[in-house]
Amino acid sequence: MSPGAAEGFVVSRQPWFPPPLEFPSAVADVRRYLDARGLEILAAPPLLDGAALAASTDAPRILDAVRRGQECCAAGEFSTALGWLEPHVGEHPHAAALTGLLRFALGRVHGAVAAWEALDRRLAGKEHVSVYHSFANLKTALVLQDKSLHPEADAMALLCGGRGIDVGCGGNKTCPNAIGVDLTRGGARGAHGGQANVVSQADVVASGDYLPMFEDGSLDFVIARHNLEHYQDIVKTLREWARVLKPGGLLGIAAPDHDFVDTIRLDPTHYHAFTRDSLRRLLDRLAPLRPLVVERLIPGWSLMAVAQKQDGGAGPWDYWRALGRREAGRAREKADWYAARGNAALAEECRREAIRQETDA
Amino acid sequence: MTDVTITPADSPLALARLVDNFCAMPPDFADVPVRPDSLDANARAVLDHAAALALAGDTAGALGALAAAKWPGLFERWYLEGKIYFFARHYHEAAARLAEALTWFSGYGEAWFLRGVALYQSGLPGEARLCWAEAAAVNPNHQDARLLTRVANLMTNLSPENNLEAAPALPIVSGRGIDVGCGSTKTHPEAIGVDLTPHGASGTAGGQKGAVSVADVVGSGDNLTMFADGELDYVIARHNLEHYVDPLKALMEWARVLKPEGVACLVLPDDEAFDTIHADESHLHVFTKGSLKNLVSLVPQLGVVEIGTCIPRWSFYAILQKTGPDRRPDYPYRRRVKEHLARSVEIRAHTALAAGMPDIAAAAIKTLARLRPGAPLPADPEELHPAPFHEPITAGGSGLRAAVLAQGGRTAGWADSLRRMGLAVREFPPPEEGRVGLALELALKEFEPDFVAAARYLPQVAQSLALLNLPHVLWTGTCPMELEPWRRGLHHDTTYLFHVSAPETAAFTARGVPRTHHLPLAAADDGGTLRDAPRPSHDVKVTGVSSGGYQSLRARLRAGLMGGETPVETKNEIFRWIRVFGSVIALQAENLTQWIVPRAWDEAARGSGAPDCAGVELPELMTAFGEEASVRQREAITGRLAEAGLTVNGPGAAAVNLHLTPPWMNGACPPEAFDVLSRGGFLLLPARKEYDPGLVPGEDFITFASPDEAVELVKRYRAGGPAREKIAGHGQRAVMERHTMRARWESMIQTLRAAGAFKEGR
Repeated sequence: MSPGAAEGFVVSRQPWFPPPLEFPSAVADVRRYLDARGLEILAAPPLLDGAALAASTDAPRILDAVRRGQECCAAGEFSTALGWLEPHVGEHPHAAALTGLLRFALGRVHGAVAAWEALDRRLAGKEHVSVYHSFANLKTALVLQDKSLHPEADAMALLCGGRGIDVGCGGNKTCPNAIGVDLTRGGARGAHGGQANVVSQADVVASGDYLPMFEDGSLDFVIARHNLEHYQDIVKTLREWARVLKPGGLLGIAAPDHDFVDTIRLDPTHYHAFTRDSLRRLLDRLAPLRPLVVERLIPGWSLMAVAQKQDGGAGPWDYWRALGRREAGRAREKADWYAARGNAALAEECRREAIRQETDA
Repeated sequence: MTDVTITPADSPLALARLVDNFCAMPPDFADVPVRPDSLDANARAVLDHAAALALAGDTAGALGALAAAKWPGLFERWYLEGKIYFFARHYHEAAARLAEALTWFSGYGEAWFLRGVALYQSGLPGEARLCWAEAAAVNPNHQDARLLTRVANLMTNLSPENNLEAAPALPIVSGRGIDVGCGSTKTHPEAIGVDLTPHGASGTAGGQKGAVSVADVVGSGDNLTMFADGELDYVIARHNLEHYVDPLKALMEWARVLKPEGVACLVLPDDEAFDTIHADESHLHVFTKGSLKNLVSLVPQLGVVEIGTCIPRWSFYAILQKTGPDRRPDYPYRRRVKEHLARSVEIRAHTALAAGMPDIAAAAIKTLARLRPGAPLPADPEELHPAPFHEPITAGGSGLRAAVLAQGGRTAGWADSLRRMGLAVREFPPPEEGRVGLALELALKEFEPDFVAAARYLPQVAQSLALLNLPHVLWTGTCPMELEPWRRGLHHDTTYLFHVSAPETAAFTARGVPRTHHLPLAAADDGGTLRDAPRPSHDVKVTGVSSGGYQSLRARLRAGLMGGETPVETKNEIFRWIRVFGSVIALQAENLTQWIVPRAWDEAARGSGAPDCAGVELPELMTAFGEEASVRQREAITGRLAEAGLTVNGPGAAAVNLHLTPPWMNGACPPEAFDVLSRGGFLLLPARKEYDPGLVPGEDFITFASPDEAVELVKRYRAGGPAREKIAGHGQRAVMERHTMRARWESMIQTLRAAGAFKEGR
């Protein structure tokens, strides 16, 4: 019995995609490798055949989508394939693996990393080596080299317009124009959890629930990645963030998802657990804030919330539209890249993907 | 005490026996000088004398000796008095005296321990346990306290009355209600037990591991579909909310099932006391008193009635009421607690009477009389166990109780004036480390004031008082700007009467602090200043002289001393001035210049007989004070007055009194203005956009806009005349009518009463 059978799907033992570079020295190496190999794999997606699908215990709806996605891949209709596979990134490892590869081929590197991150979270703790781990390894290599590729950084970077703060920035400030706020002073090493021994990038040393250095309504955005769960008093903290935001300013929160992980035991300084529902309920009731998006960010791992301070008139900011535009831009860039190399068919696929992103949003 | 073996079955008796053993021990007053450094020889003599009398059996004499020696309330005095009462078996009185002692110094374990024993004998075992726990915390080597705490803990599971965490919930039990997460012990047998673990099964996690559930309904507390909207009178959830992934949902669910006006009692581990998240693997959230309050504020149907400590360093309770968004909760929790407590004390009194224990019965009956005033008592405590002397009756005509948080000597005058108005007043020492500690909290709670007056606005004190749910706090004095963030956080259900300046009050109101009132009180510490004083004899007085004058005076005095041809008499004279000057500087260092310098100067000048002798001119014998920003203005005026040949000298009331307020005192009348006006002086003040209501520019005093105008006005009014007399007289009347301490208190109390602040018929 193959190692993956316990999970309800069958993994080919065929070494069709060996990890070429354990941890390459540059992002460019990974990109070059994927540019060359990725298209070959997509042309003949070998992972699940009809028998494997039939033997799977997954919901027929999901299996049908994966099958159709594979067929579209083989036919070279990458954009359509993505449409089938993307909704199941968090539900099926095969969908996640292929979605990552498709997104990469269509120029959406950040999106590819996000899909493989979800895959990695699903694989975490499973001892067996599978082909899926190859994607997870490549993802890790990319993110280690370039922290802006991390799905949480990428999702939150959309909010980074104007002047704002990254609360609990640690060593991974979301965007260069954010003012880093952290309890660990800049240059010192963190003590707890994921930030242990990481050099802090803080510009301001402060606790995020007490920001007297920022005046009422002085900031365009507040980003708090994996930070809210560390406060004793989350309501006070959220009110403090709402205070420093301008009317219409944006608050971005990423937090571990208690629906999937025992978030309290992840880190001894985690004081609160959140699920999508509880985070939405909390933000719904914090008067000056209006939640725009409360969703799973990395399936099986983290949540994101985007809220806007009420501005009494102007409409809500559209996160999905902004996200779609950015992804479409990335696809169009790749289209030009393909066109310059004489690959008209893939350039056309990228353009279709760009249109799909914009219209979906 | 030696070690004892106790089985839970006989622990109530064991505890009573242990306490009785302790009470039977011979009197011992050897430990009374707890802090010998704080006692002077006189105090030691009094203490020794009283202790000797008490040891000889003359209790009344010992108490009399203590009462006769009137030194300010000190720990040792109250502690000795408490011990005397204790060994005379007057436990009710002993508990009160020891509580008083602990408000002065809370670091002595034996005092806590004795107070616990006295409270236990007075029928208050719950409070006794808190005191024993405190004794063991203050002094970990206090073996008696540790023993009694352990025995009391053993009693916890025998009945809910013994459980400190059940105690806050019991008074709300009335009608139909649920105990969410009841586990193996329901808070009250009539409550419907709700638990995830079915009846008869064993719990799997945390403190309920292995304990057999007594649930009547199996369900999660955040999904109570079996109860209709508004079906229940009360919800009790002890150590439960921290287990939900979505506590907000649970709170909203409880709000849903409660009737309008229904009450919930939550008990939660206190994350300020210890690391609660790791206390139990199923804890998903941490709470502090403040964070719970914030969370409840997100549920519009619920209002916080009270939040308080359950077990110190462990847990806290919160009483919530379903009210609706626009109403303050008005559940009479305190009254219910009192009634509940009174019932158990009554039982204790009856048991003690039946068992022939008159001292314990008397203590319980006195406690009952305090808890249930006016109700018929089981017996007359005085007849049962006559007191060595009568307690002075302090309750006044108005029946109001005021707690005064002392800030040095400043508030002594306040307390006096309140007492003269017939209020029951108790003074409390300044909070240590800027926070209201447990001792003060207990003492304040016990006293139950109608309002608290505090001399200085301290954010930490404000926060702790807010947690105590004291109904009205009168602050006076200013709040420095750097404390802004704390002020912002002061949105609270409790009514605050901020007693600062008019602009600050406006700022508070704009920020949404409810029911903020401004009551003009410029001179915060004018207890002794509004007295009749002799009419003025000098021509012009200026309070406040430039630092330039101070510098030049020093130079001239030094030159005079060093000069070879200065006669000896002059040198002696200069030395005398230097002494005066020295005292001036010393007083200035105490920040009291504005009040005392002038008097010191007056006395010095009177002593010399000739104010303008020895070649030292009076204008320069003043000290500099106030803000540098106003120096230029001062020099402009004093210089020009000197050119005009006008004498500028000492303080107090004169024909014309000129006061130069520093620019930052915008809106507030300087304290000197009240002093001058109360003596019938004619006052010139710089023109400001507004002055505090109560004093009217042009009627009570005259303002000037420029130095030129000031000089002109001085020249015009110096000659006297009906205009000057009229304004001075008007000002004097205004101050005496509205700004004596008594008048100010009366206006404050009237404002509070108009706001419906006071309970009637106490």
